[in-house]
Amino acid sequence: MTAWVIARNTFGEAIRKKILNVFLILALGSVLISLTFTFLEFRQQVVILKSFGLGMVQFWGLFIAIIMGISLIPADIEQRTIYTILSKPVKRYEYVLGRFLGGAITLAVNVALMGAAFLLVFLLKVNTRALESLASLDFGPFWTSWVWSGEVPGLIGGIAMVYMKLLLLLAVAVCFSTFATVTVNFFLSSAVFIAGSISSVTEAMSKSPNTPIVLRWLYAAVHYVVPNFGNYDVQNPIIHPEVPAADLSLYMWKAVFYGLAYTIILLVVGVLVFERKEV
Amino acid sequence: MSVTARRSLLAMLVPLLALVVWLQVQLDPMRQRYQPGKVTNIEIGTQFVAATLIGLKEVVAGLLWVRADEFFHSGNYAAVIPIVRIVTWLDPHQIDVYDTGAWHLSYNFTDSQERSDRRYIPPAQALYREGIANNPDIYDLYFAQGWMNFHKVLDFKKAIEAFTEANKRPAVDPSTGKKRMRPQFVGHTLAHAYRKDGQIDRAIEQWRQNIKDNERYVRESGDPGEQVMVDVARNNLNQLLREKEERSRLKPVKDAKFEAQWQFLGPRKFRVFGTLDLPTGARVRLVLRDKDFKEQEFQKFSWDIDTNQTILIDDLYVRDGRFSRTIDIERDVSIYPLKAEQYVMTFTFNPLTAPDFVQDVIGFKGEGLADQKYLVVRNGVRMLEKSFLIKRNQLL
Amino acid sequence: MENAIEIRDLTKSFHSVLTGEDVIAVDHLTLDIHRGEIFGFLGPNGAGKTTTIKMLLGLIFPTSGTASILGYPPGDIEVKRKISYLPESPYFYEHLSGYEVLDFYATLFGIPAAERKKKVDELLDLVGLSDNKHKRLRHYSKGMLQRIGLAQALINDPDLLFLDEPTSGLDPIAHLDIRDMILRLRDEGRTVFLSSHQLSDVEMVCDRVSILDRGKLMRVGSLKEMLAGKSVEIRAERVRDDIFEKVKAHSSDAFTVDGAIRVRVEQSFVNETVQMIMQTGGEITAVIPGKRTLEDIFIETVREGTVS
Repeated sequence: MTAWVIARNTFGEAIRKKILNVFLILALGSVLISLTFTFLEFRQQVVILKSFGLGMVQFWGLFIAIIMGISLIPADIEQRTIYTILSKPVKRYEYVLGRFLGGAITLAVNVALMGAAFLLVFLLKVNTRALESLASLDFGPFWTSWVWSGEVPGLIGGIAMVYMKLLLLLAVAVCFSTFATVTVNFFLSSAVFIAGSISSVTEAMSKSPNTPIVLRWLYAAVHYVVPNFGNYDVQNPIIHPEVPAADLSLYMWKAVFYGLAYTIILLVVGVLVFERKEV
Repeated sequence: MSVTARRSLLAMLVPLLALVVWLQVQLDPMRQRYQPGKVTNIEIGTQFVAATLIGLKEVVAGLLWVRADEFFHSGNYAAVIPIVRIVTWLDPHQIDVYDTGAWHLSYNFTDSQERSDRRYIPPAQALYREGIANNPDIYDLYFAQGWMNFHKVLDFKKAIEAFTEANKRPAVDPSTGKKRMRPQFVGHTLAHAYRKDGQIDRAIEQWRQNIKDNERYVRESGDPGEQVMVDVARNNLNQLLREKEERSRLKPVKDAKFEAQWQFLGPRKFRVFGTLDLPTGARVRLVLRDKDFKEQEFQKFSWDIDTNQTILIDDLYVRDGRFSRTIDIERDVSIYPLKAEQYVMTFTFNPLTAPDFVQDVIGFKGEGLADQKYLVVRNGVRMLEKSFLIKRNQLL
Repeated sequence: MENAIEIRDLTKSFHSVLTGEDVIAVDHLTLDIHRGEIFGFLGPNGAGKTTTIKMLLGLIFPTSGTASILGYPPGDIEVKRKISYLPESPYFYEHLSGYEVLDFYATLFGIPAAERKKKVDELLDLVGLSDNKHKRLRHYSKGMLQRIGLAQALINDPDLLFLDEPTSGLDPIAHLDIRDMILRLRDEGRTVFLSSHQLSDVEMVCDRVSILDRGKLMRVGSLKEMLAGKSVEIRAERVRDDIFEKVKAHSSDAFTVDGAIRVRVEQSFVNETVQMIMQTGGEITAVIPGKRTLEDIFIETVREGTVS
């Protein structure tokens, strides 16, 4: 309950943060830009638009997640607002949980806004013909030719995967922020993100007979122990709905489960460290 | 927080970590299905791995392809092919890239007299094979592969094989992402391929099937505009039945008096000429190749061709019973290196590839040909063929 | 229970990364704060006052020693319901208005919504911010923020308040307001732990004071006792120089202004001094029973600490 109060307040604080809003605006802008992709074949245009849109949601989301994650707790310490909070009947774990939860909600709202803009742009793109009929003020053909693309649910799934990835990154940054300074944490979290994003490399190297055995263990450790952000890179089958992707939704559920489990680990570690932290 | 609470939280981490590792083990084999660009076979710059970090692999692929398009329009075909490799590695489902890439390979590398470099046909085939392996459930690349064999390579057996596969598969609507009926011309092309291969009865059967398919499509799509395909199929069927009827009565009475010759004009320059007493528009295929020429085999796509090979293919048009052409490959040393000691020059008249009005005279498979000299029967087709064995110094 | 706070041997040392040495911020502090008193916690900057408060609140953890707040260990969730803290130059969430920030803190105490509204309005009224309650804190002046700080420290009707430099940076009027408020809190039966280096404030409101210097407790006692001095100030004119020198030797404080002198001497030396001046033609203008100021004591204490 207390955690929820802090979460709500954190959200209110975050959505007023200029820098996060700048990223959001940049994201919306870059999603809109993809409407100007009018080269090659129509099919190619749609593929690039989908890929670009999902990519932009993720790209700008990364900034939002990492900048928010590294500063959520340190900002309170820096500005000494934490004194008045922790001297109230707030348990330290409730505070950590509340800050994280507030960040998670902020992230969700941001991703939802970017995702909605992307879906809108996508629908406009695939309905180019319907829109052209509008220009001639002829609404009949507009309604008959407008399509509600069957790809929308898949794309929403893709956006959800992006969100899970960002949530996990947020948890990493929040966990590290309980012991690292903001600057150190920025590089630390980024490094973990990179190491965790090249899953296919780490997996291949850990299994390759050409890798020295010690390195193989190292790669395996990185692959299994570092949060595996690469798990959420399933945009390819989402961008190409014609490609059969067997068990994709099962996979996505497992990836969500993985992300939640890992988020809990990171929060537990963060709480354990923060319990002993001198603020 | 009490010591007990701390300890239990710490203890909780162990099963949680185990759960995470277990999930990762579950996810790994599945993940590979959804993630293109296996790292184990990187043959290209790792800078593209960076794009994967921020989930922009497909964007990079798309933008690279735009760049490739610019290269193409500026005539820099050689720059296009490596991009094809990168793009299809980054996103193996951008089917237009395979198609366009293979088309570049098979058509656009040409000599100074606009003959394409045939050594690029095997890479093009390999690229299609790879594209199909990555996108096996839609008609697009089967059809494209078939079309290259039908139109460029004139290997109708391979074309039939590919068109047959294409004709079983759906297309995808780029607007909705949903599967839909493949275009109606796929079945038509298959019928044409049967006919070109001399399988007239199979062609007739296919046209009948096409009529049924096209009619059903008109009903299901509710698009009366598609009726035209039904009409086309009916026409083609009727014409083929008529031709079959007429040509079945042909006897080998037409002596085309086929003769071919070549003449050295200078280094890498020679004239080919001869006679073929058939209507203007018939074609004689000229092939000049290394004596031991063997088409390169590519297990996987590569544009690394054997540059020591020489193969030249040209079609010689028959006008008023004669054909003649000067082949000047002086400026095309890179395409025709002439490194082998011995060469085979072959002149072939193949009735299967002859236009209708020529087939009216000699039949689908040369049934009407009465030539004794140079007549060879291959797969039931009566062709005319004359070959020369040439030494290297005879060409230089 | 008699004592609101009992501190025993409380020690905090920090490890300095720069010098590689341990810095002792609070050194074996033992101190009792009685219930219902205003306790002045004095010391120069860096004496360890804030460190001590943070340990008592459970924000940082002692290296050794113990403390008990209202019978609870520091940081206990139960004790946090009964105490409050106003940090030095407090910052609050700037995106909130005065009303919202108090509402937020009230929610942390689990005060139900209806009661919360009443309480917050009352407090805003008390600290004189009713007119500005919907203004964002980012537009508040320093004085207004200090008032919000005080209001948030009162939200839970605390039994014990920790006020860290509550008057720093305030204009004189606000200064007075806060002083009055602290006195009122005592009258309501609350205990106030007032950390400050504003000696005049402490002097006016505190019942007992302690002086901390470089982590060590130098002095503790009732303010009355501490200030009750035995010295007398003598003012005179036309005092001969040699006499002034003589008197000065017995004086704790002596100076001349335009031929007039002011000296502070021990009670036992008053008669002798007066006689000396009068016999040599000087004129006594005043004999004032001396009272020491807290400042005297403070400076004395800190100086002694430095010498020793």
